[in-house]
Amino acid sequence: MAEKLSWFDREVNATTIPLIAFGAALNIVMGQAVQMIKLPLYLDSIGTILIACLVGPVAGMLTGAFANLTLGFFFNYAFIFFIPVTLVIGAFSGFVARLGAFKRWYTALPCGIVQGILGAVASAPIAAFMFGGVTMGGTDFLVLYFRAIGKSIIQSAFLQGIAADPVDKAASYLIVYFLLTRIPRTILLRLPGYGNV
Amino acid sequence: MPLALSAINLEVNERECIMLNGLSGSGKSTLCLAAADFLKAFPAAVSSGKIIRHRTEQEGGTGIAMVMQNFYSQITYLRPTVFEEIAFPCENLGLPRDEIIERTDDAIARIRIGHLAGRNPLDLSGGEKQKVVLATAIAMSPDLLILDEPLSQLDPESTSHLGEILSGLKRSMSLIIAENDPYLTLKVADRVVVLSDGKILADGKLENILGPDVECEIDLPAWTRCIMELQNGDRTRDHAGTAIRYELNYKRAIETMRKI
Amino acid sequence: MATSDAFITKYNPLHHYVALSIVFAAFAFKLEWQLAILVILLAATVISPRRKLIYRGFLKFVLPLIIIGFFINGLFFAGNTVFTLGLLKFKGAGLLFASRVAVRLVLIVISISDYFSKVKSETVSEYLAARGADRRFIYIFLLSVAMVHLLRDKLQKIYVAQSARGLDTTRNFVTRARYLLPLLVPLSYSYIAESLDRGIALRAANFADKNSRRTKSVTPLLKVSISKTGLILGRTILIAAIAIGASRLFS
Repeated sequence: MAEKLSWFDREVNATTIPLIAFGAALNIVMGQAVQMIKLPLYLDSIGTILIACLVGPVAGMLTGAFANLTLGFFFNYAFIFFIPVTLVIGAFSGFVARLGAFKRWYTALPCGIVQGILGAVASAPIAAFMFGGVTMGGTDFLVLYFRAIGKSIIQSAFLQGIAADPVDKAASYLIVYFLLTRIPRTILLRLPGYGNV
Repeated sequence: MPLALSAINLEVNERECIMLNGLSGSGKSTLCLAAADFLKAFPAAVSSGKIIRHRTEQEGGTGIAMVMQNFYSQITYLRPTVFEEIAFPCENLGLPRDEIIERTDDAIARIRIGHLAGRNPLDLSGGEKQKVVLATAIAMSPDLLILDEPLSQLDPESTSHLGEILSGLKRSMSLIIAENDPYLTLKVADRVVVLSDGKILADGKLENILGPDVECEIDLPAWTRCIMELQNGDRTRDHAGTAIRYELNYKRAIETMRKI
Repeated sequence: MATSDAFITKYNPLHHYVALSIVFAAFAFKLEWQLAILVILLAATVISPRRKLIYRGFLKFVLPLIIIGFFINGLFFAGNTVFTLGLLKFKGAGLLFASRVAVRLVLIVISISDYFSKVKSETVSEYLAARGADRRFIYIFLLSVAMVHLLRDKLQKIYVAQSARGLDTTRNFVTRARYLLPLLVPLSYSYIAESLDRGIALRAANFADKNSRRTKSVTPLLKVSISKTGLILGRTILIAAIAIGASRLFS
């Protein structure tokens, strides 16, 4: 008799492994895309959110983790330490996708804002302890400002995250929503998360 | 949703080579996936019918091996050398290390890609990648080998060589090949299955399908017109353009092509 | 078989024992010990033939982080001023904190850069898989590394094609934001479809789910090239690093 597959095995198998790898690569390549069209956003979690929606939360978490691992080993070691943040993003995206957040743009947008706040909460302690509040992410001048007005390192890192992450994640959620509306049904039918779209 | 394959009932016998002919969109690739038991991955490809495989499982064999039409997706990128890339499925079978190396060496020798063994699979051309994927399938020692358009990126010399390889492989495994190439059909096929719009229009030996006693209004693949050029004969063309009835001496044409 | 052996990857685990020991030391050792290890590492790096690769990681990413860290923490930590630069007053506690962060980062960067200058990612992945790591994780990592290159090339081609259709990056923010979908949709669609085909290809290569596999075991081809002495030496270094760090943490 066939063994009952665990939730993990159902989301991470031969079918979904290449999708997770694609999502991780997409996170990395999005940085190049926004530079090409000169947008003042990161959009470095689009792959995580997309795979969390198309497969599930576990796959989303792995997508983010492996994107940061790949980035860390080949481009900038700082990314490795932010893997816990990507786990939060993947888990939350998969969870809200199952609740139907990506079926309408006006449900995706507020979920993106909440995601951004959660991301800021998760990244603040890492930025504070590992890098003294500095991450070379473009908003370090905000850390400087908050430190100058007397905030602690962790408070400054959190406030810097709150200023940037909700906007970035809301934009990411909207982009993923519009992307999902353009993928053909014959492709979506082959994916485990078909019911989320 | 339209059926991708309709009422397909196909029997694959031991050590038999079946050539699938048909135009684009006729269902050749879908039938290959169905024969390899991968159709469950395509819920949109609704089909009816069944495929019966008569085969004796080889010890240490993998059952069924397939070279897909999009063979680029079969390069795994998980191994730094072509040799290890070809050995990858055998590793997953849990075979003894020496046997894996022996099978890989044998497959490389058969496909004649010894000069590629130490190279990175990422650096290969399209034709070289296709040969690597073919070698990978052969190394698995399957009972049934399914090839979906295996000649798409091969040069004429490699095509001729592949025909010899497949003739040799027929002695130990069944083959299903989706290809419209006349040379390969005449060289290796024991049976030809002609598909159109997801249905089987003809299934049998080549001479019987195209023999003078058969009258069927099917839109034959273009290559059959090449065969006709070899022989003089009467032709009755339907000016609607979609169905052509032939009354020709095909048997002689086929014998002539086989001698080439 | 000599010819085939030449094409099979070999791996020496001593490399990762040393790298792991240094990374552990970066977190758990006293600052003075870390500085001592750093001096030894830097000296080894200077004479290493792979120094360009190692310095590239350090200079490009870590050095700016360290400099900004010194400024931010030196200026805004509480405590006594140790030196003044014009109007800027640098606090001792802040500079010490920034130093700890800097030394930790440099140790990690140099050890990891040195490791990956000697060992390819496919090799270490195969080694981990041979030692029992979940192959699914190994394959996700290797595939994502390969796919980054493929996606980058494809993105470039799509960008050129869209530019020919009028994509103009000098327009306003809203117009530029709308260009994102014509870049992203073809990229995602083609690679989602290919990823699904790749999943079938993996199953065709007998890498399948638990219930469909013909055999449970996997035979790795990778050769581990290290003598018993080398293996003992590597493990001793790592155990010593852990023991020294643990004694400091619990003292």
